Amino acid sequence: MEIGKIVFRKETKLLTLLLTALLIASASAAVYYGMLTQSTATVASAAITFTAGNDSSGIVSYGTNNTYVALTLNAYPNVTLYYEQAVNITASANKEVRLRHVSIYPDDNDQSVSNFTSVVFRLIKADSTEVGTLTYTTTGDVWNEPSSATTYTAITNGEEWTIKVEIKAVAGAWTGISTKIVIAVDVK
Amino acid sequence: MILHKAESVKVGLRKVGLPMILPEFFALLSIDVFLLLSLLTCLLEDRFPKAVPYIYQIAALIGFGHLLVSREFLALFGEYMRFWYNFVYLLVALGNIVAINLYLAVEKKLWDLAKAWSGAVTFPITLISVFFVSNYSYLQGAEFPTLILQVGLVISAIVMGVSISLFLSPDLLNKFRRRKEVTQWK
Repeated sequence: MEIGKIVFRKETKLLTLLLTALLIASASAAVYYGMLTQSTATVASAAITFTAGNDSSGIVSYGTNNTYVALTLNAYPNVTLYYEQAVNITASANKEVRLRHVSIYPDDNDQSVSNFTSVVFRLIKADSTEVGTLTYTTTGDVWNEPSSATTYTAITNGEEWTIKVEIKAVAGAWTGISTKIVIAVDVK
Repeated sequence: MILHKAESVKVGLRKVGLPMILPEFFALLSIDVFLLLSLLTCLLEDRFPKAVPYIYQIAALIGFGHLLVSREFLALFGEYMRFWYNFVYLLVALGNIVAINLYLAVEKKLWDLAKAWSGAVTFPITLISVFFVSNYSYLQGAEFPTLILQVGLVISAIVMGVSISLFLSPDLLNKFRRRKEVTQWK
């Protein structure tokens, strides 16, 4: 059989087209998949930042870009100490926020736990309405942590809310005992 | 005590976590359409000019080049622009399907083949394309005449359904015709 006839046979043409079609289709799919995974991540400024409240002086140390803070608070035996505006949160966009428990130290069954009676974090809106509370209490050497996060509440651009903290230690609590509570302000 | 704020990092994609459709998906779809046309016109080579399958392969290759260029200039071209040039390419591919359908029906007078083509190729591909375009416009919140898309989706689905029914039971059409004739006699 002549080579020309073989080359121009319908089956040969179809096979050639099929192979090139497979090649083009898979190469295109690979390029598209590459584009899907190439999506760039853009860093945006935080919509909620921590700002100073009336009681922040001397107790707050701010993290990078005011996106996190560390509060150093006191607790007195048998007296509830109120930090009315321990720290404020300020919105630069319309968002929803909530408070969420992350971790607590020392762990349960540590003798120092029983020195504390309660630690309460209250999220308070600009109009003084309370929108969420995280309450930590103790039973002996065991912490009773908040079982769930507070519900998300809308905060509008430019609003400044506050986080109020109430701490109480047991009568006859030892001095020098400390606890470390990590809570998150979730933003969506 | 430490208070810290947790906020998910904003990513360039609008809805993080959802499988997104990039505008280039329409180019990918069009490439596949051109390749399908190339193979089908090769199978039906007696009815088409010899060069047609190769022309469609070249059209698919152009689409591939178009994808490569789009990838390189992903950040430069806005999403709006990317959508439109990919959508136009898809329209060209769909236009070719319809053109072949008309060519078979009008130029070649191959009615049966034209009907089979419309049921097996034209409407299913239109249905798929309309589905993805409407899905894209929904996910991206694009301003697109969604009513036209939905109407197109319904029409394509109906035609495809009828075509499948006729394909599976060809007697259905004859039965329908006979019933019509009886009704006319009455």
